[in-house]
Amino acid sequence: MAGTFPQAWEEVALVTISQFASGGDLTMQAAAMTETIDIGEPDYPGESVNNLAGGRIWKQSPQEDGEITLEIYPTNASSGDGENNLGLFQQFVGGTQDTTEPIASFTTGYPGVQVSRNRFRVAIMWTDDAAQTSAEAATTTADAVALRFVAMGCRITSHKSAFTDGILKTTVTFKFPAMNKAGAVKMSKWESTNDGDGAQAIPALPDYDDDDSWS
Amino acid sequence: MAGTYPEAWEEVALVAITKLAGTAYLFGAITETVDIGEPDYPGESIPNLAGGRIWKQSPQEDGEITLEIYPLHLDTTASVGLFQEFNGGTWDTSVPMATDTSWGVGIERTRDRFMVVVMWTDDDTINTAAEVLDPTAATGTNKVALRFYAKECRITSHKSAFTDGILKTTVTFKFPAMNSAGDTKTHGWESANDVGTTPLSALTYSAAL
Repeated sequence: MAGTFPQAWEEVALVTISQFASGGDLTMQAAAMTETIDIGEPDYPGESVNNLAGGRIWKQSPQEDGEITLEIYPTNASSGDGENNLGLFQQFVGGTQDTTEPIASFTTGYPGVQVSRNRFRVAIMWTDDAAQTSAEAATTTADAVALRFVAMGCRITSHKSAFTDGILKTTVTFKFPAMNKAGAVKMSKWESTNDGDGAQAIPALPDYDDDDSWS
Repeated sequence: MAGTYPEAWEEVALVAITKLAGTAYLFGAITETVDIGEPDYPGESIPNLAGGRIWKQSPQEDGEITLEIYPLHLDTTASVGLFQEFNGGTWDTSVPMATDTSWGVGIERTRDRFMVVVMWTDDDTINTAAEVLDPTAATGTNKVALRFYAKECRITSHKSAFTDGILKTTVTFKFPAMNSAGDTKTHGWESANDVGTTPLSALTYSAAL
């Protein structure tokens, strides 16, 4: 038997962010520090070209990059695995992440050396399953319904903080390519289930140890 | 006898979306707003040495239809979202559903095309997507209708926001003004002042223009 989807997805969502690491991943739950989510899937641009018959030839352009923007209320710079809802300061800055108090973001530069930025997988899940605690985890409850968006290969391209309303709020933008380099894998996807256990469950996301693989 | 048009078209509309050679589905129940951006007819005047102006028209531009919807899940037969319609590739039909992430390397990725139909009417015998496309079976008496349609629409943008405490997605369909041959407009408006007697024409989208 299938569950019943609500009239709309409202109020709450699970937000899970994993940092890519070849030997495993660093995962945090971010829903409790998040107020808003904007999911800008990569556009499919195109336009018509006028021909001399007066007709139009459709010219599609490569799918653009996507963006996920979160408005969060961060509290400190600690960033270890399982340190949830604290902030994304070190994740944005990059470099070696400090784990010893007092915490400081990385300030050392390497002149002339390419420093690749951190990559993340961002998962957002809406569900009526009270047992669900992570957007990356599989759904497990019969008749529960869920909708999930996931994007991998996300770079944090913008991290803007404002203390203008009497509260520290940071707007964080994750930018991701539409496809992997090989052109074989889409880097974002939607999933849904109307019966969240057994064969119909939304599967768990594996450790983010392969930056462009869903498995 | 003809019906009477309302003072304005308000509150509700029928929204039917059909994939090329596919089945039409109604999306009014998840839609809040509809914006129909018909293709502009651009042009400008060129001042001449007499102090006059020579009008120079440019080719009609592309059009856009934008819907604000409240999607729920991925089932393409349930009229509750446009996730797979936007993503393209192979549509998943088994729960759990997922958008297609496997793509052929170096293979042209022709995007799906859709026909979008928006209809305003006071004829309550029209209540299925098929009837929106072909109201010839409508039995209302003295009922009126206004309909816009656009074929060859590509979904160029699908942006979701969870910023007002509810998941809302803004979906943009973009369509050329004309077909490639230059002999057929992709879109049009229609109206009838007695739908049951002089129904609107039947719209089909079994083949590309």
